[in-house]
Amino acid sequence: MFCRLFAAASLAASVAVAPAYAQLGDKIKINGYGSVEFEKLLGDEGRGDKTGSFDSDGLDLVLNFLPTDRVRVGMDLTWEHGTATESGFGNAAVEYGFIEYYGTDWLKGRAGKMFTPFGLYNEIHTAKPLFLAVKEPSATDRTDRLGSPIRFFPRWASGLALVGQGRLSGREVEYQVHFTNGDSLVTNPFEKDDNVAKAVAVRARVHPTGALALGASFYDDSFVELLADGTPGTSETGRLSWSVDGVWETKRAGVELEYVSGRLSPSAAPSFWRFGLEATVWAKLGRVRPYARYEYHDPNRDEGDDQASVLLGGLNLRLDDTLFLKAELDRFDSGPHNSRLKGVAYTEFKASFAVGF
Amino acid sequence: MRHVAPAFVLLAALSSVDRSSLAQEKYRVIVNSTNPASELKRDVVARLYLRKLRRWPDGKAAVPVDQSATSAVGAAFARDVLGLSLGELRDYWLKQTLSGAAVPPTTRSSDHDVIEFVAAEPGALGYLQVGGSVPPEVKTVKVTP
Repeated sequence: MFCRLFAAASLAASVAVAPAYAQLGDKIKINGYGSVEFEKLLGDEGRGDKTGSFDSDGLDLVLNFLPTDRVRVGMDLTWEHGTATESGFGNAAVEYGFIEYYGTDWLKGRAGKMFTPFGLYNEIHTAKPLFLAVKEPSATDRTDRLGSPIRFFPRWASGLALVGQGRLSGREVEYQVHFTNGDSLVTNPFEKDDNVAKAVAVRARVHPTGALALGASFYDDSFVELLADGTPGTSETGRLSWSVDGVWETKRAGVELEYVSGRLSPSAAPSFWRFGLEATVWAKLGRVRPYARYEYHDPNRDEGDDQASVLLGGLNLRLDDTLFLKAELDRFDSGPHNSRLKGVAYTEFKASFAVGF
Repeated sequence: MRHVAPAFVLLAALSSVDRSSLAQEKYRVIVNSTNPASELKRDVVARLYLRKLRRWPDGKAAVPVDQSATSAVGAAFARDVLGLSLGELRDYWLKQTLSGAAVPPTTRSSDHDVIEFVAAEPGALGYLQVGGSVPPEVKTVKVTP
């Protein structure tokens, strides 16, 4: 409903204000992306896909409406895993849908559902053609895959944001500040907050040189805890996370580092800290980009042998301006107390086609 | 044989001059004639095209118009002004667009269409191949380092 309302209003506004020399494409931009993946566990043990599966991972339509020179309505509509509502399979969703008002280059306001600005991957985690590996790093972004069911930050949130960029002392600087409902386990967090405290997300990034970008992120919220029977209680868990990241990229090669640390504060248990890191290196050999990535995640610093790691290496082949073929081997390892991987080491083959246009 | 060496030097010099002038004249930047600017720094033009800057100094909306990324003039402009190869420019806009950060400038497929757009839009900024005339509603600006 949200999207249809936006689309209809924006389309009407666009057509109404477009002068004769303008074309429809000046006011409405249509883009998209998608990916089809394959995973297969090599061996018999581990959490990988034992049978080998094709996953129609997602198909997204990205729409931008520009009714005036100060207003943009942006949205990403997704159909994931071969959405079939009749059978209850897959997922159809609004990844983001927001209204942006341009004040100055340093100050743009946004309202709506937005990706949480945290680290390097969250805003592109569904847009697989934008990164080298088949999936985004688990240690920093999908911690549930490595034994931390509650992630460092929610993928999305509804609320308000300030966004800006410009030059300070000759260096490109960009920032985002989000004030949102945050996460929720019991209500639709894009409609109603289930606690008084609002979530705050901040990220800043500076480009000391054209090849180097350094960033830092911060996220803080709290959410209602569930009782043993699954119903919402009155107590809350506090969550605080921060990260630092850096990307150095030349025409021949690149390096990327990200470190995330976070604290969870349950109402009836001591607070604990956890952390994740990822390091990626790659080369650019024309259309082929070999890459390697190491990830490490510790779900609780106070507990021993609960860590998990992933070492992966692969090739990203650009078949066309818009189409990528990826193939990689992922080696998972963990301590015996890791709640998900249980100390079982295994290797998984992953491949995908990813398209972006 | 004595005349051969000077001839080579002359030929090399002429060849060098020719390459240099060609490199400088693969495109020219135009604005609407109501725009007070007579020259623009290359860095400013780049930031306008990459949508890092969206206003002229007088507060008017800057509306860059691009040419097809596969055109010769588009490639020369991307390389010389934006400092990007066509592939890098494509990847830049793919990331900006798909992540929801920003959208690229509008595009026209010929010099004629670019001139028409810039003539009609007071805040417009475009680029053309060298040569040919432009109507009085449009003017060429010098791009400085």
